[in-house]
Amino acid sequence: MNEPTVDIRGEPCGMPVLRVEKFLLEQSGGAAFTVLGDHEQTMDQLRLLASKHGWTCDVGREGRDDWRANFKPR
Amino acid sequence: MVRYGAAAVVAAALFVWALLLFKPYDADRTKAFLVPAGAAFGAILQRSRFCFASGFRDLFLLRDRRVMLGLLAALAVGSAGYLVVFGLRVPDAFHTEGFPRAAHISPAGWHVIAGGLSFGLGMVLAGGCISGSLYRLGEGNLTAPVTLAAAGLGYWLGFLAWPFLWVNTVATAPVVWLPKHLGWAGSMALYLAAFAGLAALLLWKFPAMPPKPAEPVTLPVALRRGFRDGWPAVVGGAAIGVLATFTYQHNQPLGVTSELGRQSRQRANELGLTFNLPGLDQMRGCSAIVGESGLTPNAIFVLSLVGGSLVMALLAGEFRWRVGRPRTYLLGAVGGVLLGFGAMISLGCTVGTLLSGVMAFSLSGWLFALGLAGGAWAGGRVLKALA
Repeated sequence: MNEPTVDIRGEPCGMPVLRVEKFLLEQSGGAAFTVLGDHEQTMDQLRLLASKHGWTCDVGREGRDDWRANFKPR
Repeated sequence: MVRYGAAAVVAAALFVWALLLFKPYDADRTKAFLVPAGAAFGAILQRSRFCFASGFRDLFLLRDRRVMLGLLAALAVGSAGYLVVFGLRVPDAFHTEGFPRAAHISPAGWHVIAGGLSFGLGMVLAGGCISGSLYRLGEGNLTAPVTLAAAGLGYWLGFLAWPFLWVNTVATAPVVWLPKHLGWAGSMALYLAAFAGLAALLLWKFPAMPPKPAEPVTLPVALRRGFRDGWPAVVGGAAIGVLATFTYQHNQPLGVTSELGRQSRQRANELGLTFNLPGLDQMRGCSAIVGESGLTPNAIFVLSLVGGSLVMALLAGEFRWRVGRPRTYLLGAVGGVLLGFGAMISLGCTVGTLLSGVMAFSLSGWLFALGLAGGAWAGGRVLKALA
């Protein structure tokens, strides 16, 4: 089954992490999901966000320009 | 390979430009110096993601302390550097008349806090301050021009407010330069204690980033860390502190808004809009002074900043046209107006008033930081509501 994906590419700086946090708390239902991003610093912040909520977050390159973060509950 | 070639072309263009500006028989070589200085500033900002908006916003929203620690490193190193330059120019701080040449020491009134509030809110909404927008321009961000153009409009609002501010605060506000009251040693001791205290608070109250998987440091890994991965913000901050010292030695404290303000004022003049701006042309800081023809030193610095960021973004593979969503442009425009207004009434932005003001031991820099923190906190609440 495909995991739900949150696409935060092209968002203004600062907003994406808040959107992911909202998704994690209100829509994920505690199940793993994926985030697609285009900014390395934001992806780093996703790791901090995951840790704050007791999740794990593995970040890796997606294609040439983008990044993918896999969120999983601990 | 194309991007490496493009980076080499831009770097070569900057080098040639500096050579053309260099006049060997002219005592004032500032313009030539400002090309590498601006390029270095842009390169450091880009590589270390040294963004003031991120520093304040992420502290409140995400409890991410990294950029704020970088800012403290910049202020600590830069203040020490300024102190050395001051010491060479002003033997006795207690009994000197006036203030050291060109340093951004300006009136410390409530207008600076109000400007900081507006600027802090604006930078969080726009997703970056003026310097952040400039270095993102070098990364191909297309929201940045919207933010910068809107900041020009914000300057007009600041010009409209200036006569009221001049009468009610600027003209009568004290100009507080710490060394005049505490001397060199006392000022530096107070600063180091403040920076150490703030850093300790950040390290104690805010969590560290989860560690990344360890890897042995080989040459390819070192190259990747230097040119592809971001630099730690503390490293970037310390580098900015060193750069700020060198630029001040050339009587050009770091600043990125005076040309923006000048352009805004000139466009207003061309449109027949006349503003009553008492005392503005005598103020220290990044004030919008018209009259200079050709490329001003600040214009050279700012253009080189964008060039330096572009070179590093190309080398890191981070340059691409970032179009963004419609909401990004709207927030960029609203934030830009607030940025311009705040920068105008505070006589500078996070670079000219916060960095260069605090490094120069001016109370106005600290007041701006206070307002900035309040504005960034409010901006964070707005972003949360919009997310």
